Amino acid sequence: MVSLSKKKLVSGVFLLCLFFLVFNFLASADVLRNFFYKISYPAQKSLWDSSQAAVSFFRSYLDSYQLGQENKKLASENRELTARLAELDALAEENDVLRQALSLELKNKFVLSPCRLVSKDLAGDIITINFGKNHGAASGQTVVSREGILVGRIEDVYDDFSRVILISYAKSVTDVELQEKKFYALAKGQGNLNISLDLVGKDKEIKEGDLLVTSVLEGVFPPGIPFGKISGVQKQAAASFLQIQVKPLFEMESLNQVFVIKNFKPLK
Amino acid sequence: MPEAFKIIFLFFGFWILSWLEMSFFSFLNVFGWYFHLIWLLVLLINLFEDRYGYLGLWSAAFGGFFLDIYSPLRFFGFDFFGISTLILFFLSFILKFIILRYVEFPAFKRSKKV
Repeated sequence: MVSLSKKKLVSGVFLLCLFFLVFNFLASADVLRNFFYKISYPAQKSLWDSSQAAVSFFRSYLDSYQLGQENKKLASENRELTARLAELDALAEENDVLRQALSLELKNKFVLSPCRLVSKDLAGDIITINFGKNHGAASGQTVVSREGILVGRIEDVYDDFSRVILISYAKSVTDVELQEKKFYALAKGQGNLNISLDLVGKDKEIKEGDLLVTSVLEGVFPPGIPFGKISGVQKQAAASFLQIQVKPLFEMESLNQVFVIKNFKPLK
Repeated sequence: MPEAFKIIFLFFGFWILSWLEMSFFSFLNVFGWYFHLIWLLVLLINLFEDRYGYLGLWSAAFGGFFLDIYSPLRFFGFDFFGISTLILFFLSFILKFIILRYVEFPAFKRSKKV
């Protein structure tokens, strides 16, 4: 009985392989994927919203617990920090104004189509949005957040949905520019919302908090879109370049609505 | 429960699991490692079901199918539909083979009265 089952299983696996091979060559999986995305969209949408709410709740709870522990230590530094906070508040306000100005500039310059985030892939930094061929989506189109921050670009397009590769995707490479210092670098995605900066010489003055924008060199994204913030800089004696970590400016926990830039054609 | 009901239950179970994996579990990671619920469940079903049962293979087929739908893997830059299904099916097949051939789970047996 066991040997008969084994024969059945082997032939089953063989038939399955054959089926998928024929399916990939003759039919398109995009139609099937679009069908499943469409029927599961309401459930996925509400699950995404509740996940975001749950994650932000737990994060705020953990943060408050840590703050409670550090409260005594912080009390002694309170006076110094108050002055520093006032300075930071002013900077944050300035930052908000600049961001709004940037998003307004984007709205004036490009045709933006709003869409919703449906899910995020575990296999990599890839998201699904409810914007497909029927809405005018095309591969390579730029996706930005509500504040005008770069999120990624469209990779696969189905009838009603698209898959977007985030800027932190492991194989993603973007030409960026350090906003104030006017020099260029390569931002390489590392996965898990981490990015590293390549080809920055040791002589360059770069510090944590410096803002990166997309450059004019590459032509994949429109130039001047906020890209990320320097989160760490290391100098190693053996290496000829600086080791730089970058954090994207968008936050996954609050990323609900995004915009697709429809009238920018990438060069590649 | 009849086998057909179990299979239907598995299909819908894996469907819901794939939604959860793409929403709630995409935020949860430990040192950058994510919980791949579908892989984990397929592995557990194969390990703990009846050694002559087929539910492990069904779960591999359904789990792989939904991974191919919602989280397509690129195979040498080519989007090959069915790659997750084949990988999971193959792994389940190997696991079943090892369990059938080489693993003897310890069990209590009533000894004969002398």
